[in-house]
Amino acid sequence: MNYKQDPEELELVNDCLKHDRKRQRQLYDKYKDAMYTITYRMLNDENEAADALQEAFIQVFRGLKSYKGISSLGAWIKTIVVRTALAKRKSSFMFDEIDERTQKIEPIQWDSNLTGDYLEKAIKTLSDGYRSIFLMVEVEGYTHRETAEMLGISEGTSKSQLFHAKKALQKQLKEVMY
Amino acid sequence: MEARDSNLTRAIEDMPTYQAPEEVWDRIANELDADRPLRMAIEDYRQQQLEAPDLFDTIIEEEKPRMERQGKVRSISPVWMTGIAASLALLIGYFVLFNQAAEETITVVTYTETMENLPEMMTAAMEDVSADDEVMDFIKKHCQQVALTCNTPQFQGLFDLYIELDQSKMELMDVMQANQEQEQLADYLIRVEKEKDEVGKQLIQMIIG
Repeated sequence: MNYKQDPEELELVNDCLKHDRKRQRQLYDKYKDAMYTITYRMLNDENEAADALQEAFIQVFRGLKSYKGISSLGAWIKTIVVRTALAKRKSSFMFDEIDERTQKIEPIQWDSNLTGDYLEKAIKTLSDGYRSIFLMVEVEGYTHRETAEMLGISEGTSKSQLFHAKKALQKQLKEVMY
Repeated sequence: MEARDSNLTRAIEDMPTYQAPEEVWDRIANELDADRPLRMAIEDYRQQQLEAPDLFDTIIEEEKPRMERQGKVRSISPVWMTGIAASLALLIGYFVLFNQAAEETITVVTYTETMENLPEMMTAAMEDVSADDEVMDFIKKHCQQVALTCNTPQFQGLFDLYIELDQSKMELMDVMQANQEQEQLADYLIRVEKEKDEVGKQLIQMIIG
């Protein structure tokens, strides 16, 4: 489905391209909290999250002329933010390339008392790789294909790693909740 | 033919139908139920938004050197800038005189700035160079008339070198702005500027022919 561009958004982009400081501030204010939430969740460290946010927004302002309006401005910014955060952690990821056909991915039983707060606590304890893949697919809604492309892994590995991430999460939740 | 078709239709209608086993729904329902607490918790987690630190001024400060470049601010090496401007003005002046003399005998082909005959890579690279770059301005205005020259590998090689030198210069200016105490960077910048000037002159000379 094609994205229908919001005229107000387009106007904001054009004003920012003219280096209109007020409008640049407006763009930053509109997205800063959502984007900081992503960097903080992915990096698990306030300083690193702020650094990633800063780097990402510099890239946003510098690269705004390449925004083609194919997706929403928020989605475009989010991809830059996710990529920037990933770049800070990618070297520590260790994903085993697993053939998904030989993997049995069974449904995981989740506790019915599970809440967002418990989830947050448990996600924080996951390894960088598991945390990123869980956040990208389950929370941010990227497809396995998009996730695999951003992480430089195969789609099958993305699927199996998500399953392992969920298993690890379930284990952590037991400790966090009880 | 028609009879054969109706036989086939009847046979298809007579084919036995099968009922989905009850346990399939049970399995679907189980999987949905198993996943439900996670889906709800994720939804709850998504709503929790953190407050970002105010980094706007720092971001704009980082972005500034680039914006200044685009905004025609040139603060370094006025002596060199004057020298470069003078030599370029001489070259461009020579071209204008040459062109005026030629106008008396031949009809000058009119040109537009659409640069249709130039490789896309060249026109894209031009957009990244500062708006007040005189050499680039000259190339934009006159390459259309001498498209054959501007499309030669020799011209394009020099053009690429010019773009690279321009980028190096801009990067150096950024670094200098961040490390103002490093004077040796200024010497290096002058060397880059001189080299860029030389390449610029060669480009203009190729256009003038």
